[in-house]
Amino acid sequence: MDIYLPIAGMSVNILLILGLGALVGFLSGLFGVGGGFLLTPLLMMIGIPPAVAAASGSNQFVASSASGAYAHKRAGNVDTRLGIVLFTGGIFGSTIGVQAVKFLRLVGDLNFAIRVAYVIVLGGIGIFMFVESLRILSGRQERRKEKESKLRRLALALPFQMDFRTSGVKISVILPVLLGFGVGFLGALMGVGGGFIMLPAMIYILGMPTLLAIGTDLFQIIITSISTTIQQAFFNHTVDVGLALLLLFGSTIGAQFGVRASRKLRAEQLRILLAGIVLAVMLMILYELVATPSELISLATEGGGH
Amino acid sequence: MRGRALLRRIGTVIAFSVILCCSCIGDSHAAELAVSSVPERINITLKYSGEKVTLFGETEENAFIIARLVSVGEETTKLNKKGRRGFLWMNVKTLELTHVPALYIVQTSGALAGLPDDLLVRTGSDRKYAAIRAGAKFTPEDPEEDVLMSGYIRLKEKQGLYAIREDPVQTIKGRLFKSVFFMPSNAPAGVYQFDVFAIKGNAVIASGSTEIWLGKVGIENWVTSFAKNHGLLYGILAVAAALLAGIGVGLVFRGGPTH
Repeated sequence: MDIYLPIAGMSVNILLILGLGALVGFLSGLFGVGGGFLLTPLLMMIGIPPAVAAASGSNQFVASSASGAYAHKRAGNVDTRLGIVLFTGGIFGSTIGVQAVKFLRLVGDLNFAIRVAYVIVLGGIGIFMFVESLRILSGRQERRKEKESKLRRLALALPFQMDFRTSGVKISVILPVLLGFGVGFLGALMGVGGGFIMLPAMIYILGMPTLLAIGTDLFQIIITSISTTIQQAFFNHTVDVGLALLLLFGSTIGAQFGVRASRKLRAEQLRILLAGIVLAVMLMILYELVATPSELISLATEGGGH
Repeated sequence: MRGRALLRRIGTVIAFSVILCCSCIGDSHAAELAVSSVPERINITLKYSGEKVTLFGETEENAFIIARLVSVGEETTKLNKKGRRGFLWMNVKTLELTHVPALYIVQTSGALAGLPDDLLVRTGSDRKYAAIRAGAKFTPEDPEEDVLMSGYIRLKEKQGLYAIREDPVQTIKGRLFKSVFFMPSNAPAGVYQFDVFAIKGNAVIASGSTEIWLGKVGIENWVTSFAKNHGLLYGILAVAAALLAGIGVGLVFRGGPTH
């Protein structure tokens, strides 16, 4: 059951790709994260050129996040208004982030500081979420609403108040725009999708319900991955539509099961699983940083080709 | 499939006849080695997953044969180099590697251990790939190019694109020899060349080469050129397909569009 992928320039086993797609789609539906942190390295492991793996991956995220967002939307778990506000901030953030990367590269070796900062940020978020959910799960129902009052009071005091009815929050529009900006900026700087920072921020800073945060984040991922796919296809010709179609068949179905699973879990259980994944990704990056690599060279993700 | 097998058999017969004719004509040029391959042209179709290529040749009896399949032209590869900062490892540099072949597979009729080093290097069949190393060019230059090149070669060997295999050349009736090469599916489209050396008494007594063409046809060719020439439209169509599929599956799972 092999098929030749024209842009990747190699043949792959159809069932293997479908299975990979299903796994990533399930996670995406369950947590509202893109899954790029998992898909690109898995595709590279089976020999897909890195640039093609990343670009085709973003094409398939359009499908899996559309499938997940659609299911969440029908369940009333997407705040479109907030999604658009977050995304607007995100565009500015990533545009300035890309320029910042160019500038920092000229200045010197800042990759190092960025990687370390990312590990610390992820580790901090993961541990915080883990401890917080564990506390609620273990029965001590200290509501976090009283604790986060400082940021919430600031959000209420700032001008340009906006009513996000779906989320049930009425806050200054400045906060979600800044949040979108910050996540877009960090994403561009670290070269990793911002889902892991965006989700906890929506839950803890904006005070959104967990399921709603997941649904809205998926909506935001659709827009981001559409723009990435078109840019990659236009500038680098690295989108393999055959690979993306196979992946998306697996992932759209996987995403449906993910959404179903997410509805069966309590919000705290969902958050503790999410915390687990955030910590796992952090450990993965940390391991890469600390362990002596078996090879000094690896294929670069950007550009290349024949 | 049966027709293809028949064609291949006919091709084999033709190849042998061509070799025999060539060797009759070519007697005055002792250094010319007649070689031919079946097939001479490989089409990449939707179901393509690599293909066997059989090389035929004829030379003096009991000659040692070194046969090499190599891509004509070169490829550009972008590589990340890892380095140490304190106790942490990370990508410290991006390099471009040029002037190296995309594919390089050597097959011989026996163990290479007995042959002198300079002969191995001259025929491009030493285990360290000296011929490739000599031509390779890193941009920007790097003090550790040798180490990086070894890493690159291991990467290529893992992908099945570089190999030095002792023994897969078979001798038939003393003078005729054949060797089955496998063109892996990840070999890029382009022109490839067989270079064959016949060796006796630690010297090359004859050498020859033949070309083979590998290219995308049909839908594979169409998609590739569409992606290259109409990138924007290709991207928009890819996104549209993804959105349709995503929402379509969502509808199916909800038991149709009834709300």
